[in-house]
Amino acid sequence: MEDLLKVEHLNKRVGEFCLKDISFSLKPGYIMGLLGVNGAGKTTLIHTILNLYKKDGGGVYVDDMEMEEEERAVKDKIGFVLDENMFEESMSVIRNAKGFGKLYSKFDEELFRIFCKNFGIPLNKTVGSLSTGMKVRFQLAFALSHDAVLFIMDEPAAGLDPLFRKELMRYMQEIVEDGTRSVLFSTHITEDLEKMSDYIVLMRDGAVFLSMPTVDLKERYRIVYGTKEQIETLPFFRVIYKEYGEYGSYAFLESTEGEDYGEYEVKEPLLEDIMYCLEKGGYSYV
Amino acid sequence: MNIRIRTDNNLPIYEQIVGDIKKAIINSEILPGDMLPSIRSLARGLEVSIITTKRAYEELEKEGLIYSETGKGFYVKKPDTKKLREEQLREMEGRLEEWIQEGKKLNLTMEEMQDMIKELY
Amino acid sequence: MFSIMMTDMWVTVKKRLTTWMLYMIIGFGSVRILENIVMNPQIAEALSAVKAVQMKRILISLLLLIILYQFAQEITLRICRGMFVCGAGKKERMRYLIEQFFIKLLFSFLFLMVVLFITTRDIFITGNEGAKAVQIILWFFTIWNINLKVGIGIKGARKLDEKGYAVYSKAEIAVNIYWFCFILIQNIVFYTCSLLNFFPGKPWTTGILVMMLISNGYFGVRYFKPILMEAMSYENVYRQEPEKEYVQYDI
Repeated sequence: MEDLLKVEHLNKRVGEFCLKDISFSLKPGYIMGLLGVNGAGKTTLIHTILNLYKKDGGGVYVDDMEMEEEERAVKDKIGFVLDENMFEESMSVIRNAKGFGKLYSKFDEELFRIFCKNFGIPLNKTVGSLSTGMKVRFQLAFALSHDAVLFIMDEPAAGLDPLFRKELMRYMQEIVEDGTRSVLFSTHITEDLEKMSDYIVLMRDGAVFLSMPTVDLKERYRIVYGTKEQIETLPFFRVIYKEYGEYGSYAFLESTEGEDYGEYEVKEPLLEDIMYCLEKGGYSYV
Repeated sequence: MNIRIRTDNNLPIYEQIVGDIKKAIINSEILPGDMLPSIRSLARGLEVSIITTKRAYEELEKEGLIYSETGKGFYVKKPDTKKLREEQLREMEGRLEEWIQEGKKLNLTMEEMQDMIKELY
Repeated sequence: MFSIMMTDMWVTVKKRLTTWMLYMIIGFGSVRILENIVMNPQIAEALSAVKAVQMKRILISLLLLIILYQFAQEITLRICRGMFVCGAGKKERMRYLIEQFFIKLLFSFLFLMVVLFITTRDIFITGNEGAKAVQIILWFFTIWNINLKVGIGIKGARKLDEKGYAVYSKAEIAVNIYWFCFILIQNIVFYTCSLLNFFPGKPWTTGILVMMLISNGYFGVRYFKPILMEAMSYENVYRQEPEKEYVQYDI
């Protein structure tokens, strides 16, 4: 199976901040979560992938086509849901869709209208007057109406209520269900990624800290519980972070082959535990 | 076939799926030759990632409970009931051991524990 | 695409409409006042070489050029955001800018001609054939020059270099300073000549026309693409806030 999206050694400087040597790939039919604290570079990365920011080096390939060389053909395949509104605020939903729909080879206005009806988007209201949730739905409806294969979403769930967040995750699953399309979405809300993401790219300070299947990521780390003394004298190798509390302490470590944690109470960490402990532990071993 | 993912459980999700499907096979809820849902539709139904269901099916295949036919899907194999039963018994023994340990902590004698079992049976 | 471009410009127009109406009123008001001054018999005698109507035309066309200059400063050449993220490449975006430029050119020209015609029954300032040609060419290049402005930054804020001085590209300096001054001089000369009714003979006018075409044409063509290229960078035009400082992660 060929990569649907391939990012190779992407570099970009924006003011004081730098994206450093970003590389990862995504095959068709999967959901990839881009994770990281605020300021880690998720939005900058997405902007650079979409060629909104001109890259300083490296390559972005969609279906083996390079973004800068074949920009129009590449963007024809991309559906976007971005944090900032890219449409004309003073024009109505339907006029925006018609106008920008002309830029795509397979835009289907009828389909767009059907999505709007299902999502409850008023066609004649101006885009600027839509609520945050409606703006996301509008972008999603538009993205789904031109036969896109790669969906790139930048913090789509930020500022949305849990009900709609769940709906959004369901839509993402529907998108990838037939195995031909993929979703890349950035978020700092890990619950959304916990069950449904296939791959996680964790960013830190402008670089990719890790990129792997979610199940593998969760198997890579462990949280070990114990008393203060137990945790202080933990005999394990790759301990990344320890936290001592009034009613119990724990250690976050990278599991090593052959190590036996049987004596202690151990659990597989949640993504938010991983992010928290890595951040607190400085992303390296104690 | 009922599969439920428990978030408070210590087991990784794919193992939970494996467990539930195994149970369904043992209880003959699904029979040998039955086709299992596709990896992707199962993922969607359970609201988990595709790699999770893929992993689960790979596990089940490794354990010899299902087999795959390229282009068609996954099917239930006739289970080696003896082996399965042995496995289940082993699991139960493990849990029994834990329970006995707890009982010892509470200073229960073997007779008291036996009485408990008799009552609850 | 066209409708989106027009809407984009129209939004700016709507925002500034009241201010512009004010300009227009002040402008035309001043022309009226000047007219009355000119009508004053004593002054009229002194300016007998010039017909009152012609004077009016000169003033109005100058006023309109100033208004158009202001328009051009505010409705700059700019690619809408959607064109950067939807299915469009460099070629499509360049075409968008070129179309936008020529629409502004056409509109400005029509604006000049229509208003002048409505207020003074003629679009030409003088009756001299050569001068008529010069006027049109001069209008054309003046409009070309003032419309070659690209909207930089969200609020027009310029990029600053290390010392805090605004950064202008070579093309912008060439167009906004050198060519602009040249255009200014040409306009001053033309209007002074019109005022004094002083026109050189045919061969001279032809020579002047050719010189104007070549020199202005050179500037207009040479710096056209470079200026437009300034608007092709999303980063420049829609400069975002830099990535927020790392925020303490709290759980």
